[in-house]
Amino acid sequence: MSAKVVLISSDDEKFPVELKVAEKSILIKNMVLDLNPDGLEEDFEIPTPNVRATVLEKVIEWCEHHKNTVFPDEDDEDAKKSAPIDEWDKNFLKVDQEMLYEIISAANYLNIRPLLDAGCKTVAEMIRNKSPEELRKIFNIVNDFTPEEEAAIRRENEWAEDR
Amino acid sequence: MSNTPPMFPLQNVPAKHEYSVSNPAARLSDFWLQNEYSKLSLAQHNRENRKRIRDGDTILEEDINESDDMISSDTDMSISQLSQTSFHPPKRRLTVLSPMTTLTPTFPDSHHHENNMMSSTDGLNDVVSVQPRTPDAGHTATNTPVSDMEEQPQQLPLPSPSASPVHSGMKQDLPDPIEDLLANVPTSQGDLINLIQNLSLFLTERNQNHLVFKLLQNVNRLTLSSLGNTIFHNLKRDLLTNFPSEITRKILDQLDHKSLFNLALVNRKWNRVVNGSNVWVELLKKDRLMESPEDIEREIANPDQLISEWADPAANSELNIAQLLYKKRLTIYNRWMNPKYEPKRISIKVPSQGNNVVTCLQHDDEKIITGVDDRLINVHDTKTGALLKVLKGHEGGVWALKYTGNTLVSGATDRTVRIWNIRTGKCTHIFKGHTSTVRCLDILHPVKIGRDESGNDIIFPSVPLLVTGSRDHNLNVWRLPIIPDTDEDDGIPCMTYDSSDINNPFLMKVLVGHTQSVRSVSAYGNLIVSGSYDATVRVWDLMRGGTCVQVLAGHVDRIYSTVLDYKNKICYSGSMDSTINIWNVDTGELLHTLKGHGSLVGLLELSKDYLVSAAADTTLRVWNPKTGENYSKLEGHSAAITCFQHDALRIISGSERMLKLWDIRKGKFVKDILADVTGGIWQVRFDFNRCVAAVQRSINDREETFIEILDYSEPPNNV
Repeated sequence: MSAKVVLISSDDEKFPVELKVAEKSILIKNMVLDLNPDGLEEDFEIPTPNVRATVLEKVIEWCEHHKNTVFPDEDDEDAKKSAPIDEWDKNFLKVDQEMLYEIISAANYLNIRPLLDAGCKTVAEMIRNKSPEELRKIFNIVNDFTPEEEAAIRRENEWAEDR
Repeated sequence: MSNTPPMFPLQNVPAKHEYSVSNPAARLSDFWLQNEYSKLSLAQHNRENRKRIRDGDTILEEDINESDDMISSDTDMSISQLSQTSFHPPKRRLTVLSPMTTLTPTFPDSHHHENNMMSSTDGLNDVVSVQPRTPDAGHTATNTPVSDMEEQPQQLPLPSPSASPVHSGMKQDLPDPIEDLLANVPTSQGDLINLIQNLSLFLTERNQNHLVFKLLQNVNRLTLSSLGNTIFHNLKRDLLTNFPSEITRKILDQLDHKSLFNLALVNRKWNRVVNGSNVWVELLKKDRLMESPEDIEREIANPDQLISEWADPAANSELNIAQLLYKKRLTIYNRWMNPKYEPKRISIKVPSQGNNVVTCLQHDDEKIITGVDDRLINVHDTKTGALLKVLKGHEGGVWALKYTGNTLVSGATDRTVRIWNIRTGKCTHIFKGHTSTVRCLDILHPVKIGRDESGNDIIFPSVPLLVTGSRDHNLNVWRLPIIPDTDEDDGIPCMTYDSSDINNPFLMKVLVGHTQSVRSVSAYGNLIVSGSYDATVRVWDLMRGGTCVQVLAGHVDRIYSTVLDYKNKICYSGSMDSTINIWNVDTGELLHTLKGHGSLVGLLELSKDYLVSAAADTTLRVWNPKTGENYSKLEGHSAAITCFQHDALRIISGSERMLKLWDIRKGKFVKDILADVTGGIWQVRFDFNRCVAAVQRSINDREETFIEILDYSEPPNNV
């Protein structure tokens, strides 16, 4: 058995994973590289003090699934933005909003771009083509506009309506 | 029935992470103390939370409290379940209880690591001194029923955080709080619930979670479903504005303008996020309403005109200039695509004798320059259509024309190339050398073509160059004289430069190789690509002294059009053999042959996303420039296509009596632009604001040439 990276969640759970899996996180990849310039010889523990076990477990599940995925070039911004969410990712991210928030935050902190992108696209899917009232319901938000303010904003944006 | 789902779905589910049991052997009293301290720091926290709620900043805390209420009221069910089964974790825990004689405390607060393990002698002191330093305990607010805790009789002398360390004697002073609780035997359901709930406060946060899970294992599926829905609903949160701004931006970047406008109506915070964001700049590019970041920056840097023409004068919210620019661009684009919209139209008769073909046309916001086969070059005002200048000098029809700045270059059947000052209308240079009609030309601007070994940019050519192609089979490369941007006549007479003069300061190279007329030329950086009636495309490298580096042979008939994609080192050629070839200019390899057109492919144009071809078979085709995939075939013209232009959004194409607008992305016809043209459409060009066409119309049985200007950019505010 080759040496593993042991990720330690903020609540002290240990998750031994293959280097290939852990490296999906650029943060971890760089950390492993910096501290083990000659390669991994024994298990290497990395605490992730901002990520709790339940979230870390999900993130590792994602990294595990995508360990062999080649993601499009970082530079090709356009292609990345317009690409639809991977079908597996879409199902993977069918979680409650708290977990989605945590996964996106963790992907950002751990620097896992494709997961961060998929998370942001998932939120965008929840938002797209929804009325303001629907959006308030979806995200539990209270409308703090006065009726006059709301009417004024509607009037200013009228030009964009379909005619 | 084996198909029946289990009544208690969680019964055999293992506990995980935050709700698995931790340190089951740990003593209770320590945690009780810890909880009491939590309460102290918690009270503080809660006050802050409530304050924030009042500020309307977040409603999250409120919701979670509601869900707590829900959980405690639903415990009725789980308690009754509990009594029916032999599963009594809390009681079992209680039986393990023993008086606090030996201290083996650990500190299992989930926010601390195991190195907080304390020695048995001073453990309690450490607990006392450490605890007040953990404001994180406020987290438990969401998991512990705070209100009930506060109702709990406070009979116990609480060590204050500032208390000096107490030693083992303290143990005797403390009455056992659990015994105290258990002193009253519960006699009602409510009492029992309260007791169990109060007892649960002796657990660590994690073990409390575990207890909840244990209770849930005895909850039936329907109740779980109801609980689950309530929990799911209450986990809803603002998933847009609570992230760091770069994540919020990533989400916004995925949305279209209509969704963004809906976001702006959700509440004030969301409105600020949408209006304060640069997302509109991104959207301009994404929706292809503006391609170049430099253009966007320029417009945003000088917003006065934009605001006075396009801003809603009644609007009182703060103006986002990029959003306003988006409004302008989208409004103009929608006008183009709206079949009912009538653009402002200017129609100017070209003063020429009889039926003359407009062979070339180039325009910008100020001027429209046309070359006519009656030897004249006309300069019109783009805004009014007025004829500003007529450039006279060529002794034959003008067949090629291009300008940069104030410098205009033209080629004609009189075998000469002429350089003009557009503002004064004066011919400044005549280049002689070609022995037949000058049929095509291109201008080479100094551009960055790469990096040298030390990382410096290589700029080539060093000065602007002009390359002309002729029916004499040759191409001439000239140094292009740049005419200063002034209308003052410098008084210098027009000079003629002949290629026979060995001291000719302008002629740099004659590219010899083609065996028939040169019909098309495209040049960039150090490369010139020429297409000839000899059915070959030749690639010439000016860095290598203008030698012919490739002869691209593959077409079987005359070549009429070429395009060079310098960056990708690819060139495209359209031929009378009705095919389009895609070549690698470095290796000479024929990458693809695009088939489909039924006759001469006379016109080719390339943009970032599309290669568009127009043919004598009356159709246009849109192709993927990399793979050669045919995206669409545009049918509707009834004669050979004479001219067209495209951008990322649309194509305008002309043929006898027809000028048509197409949606390039959908590959669909949008509308006929000039319905009243009775003759040929000689030339068409467009930019974002307007379409300019040279057309032929019968007036009193005479064919006349007109310049038509269709303006879609009229601002809504009359200023």
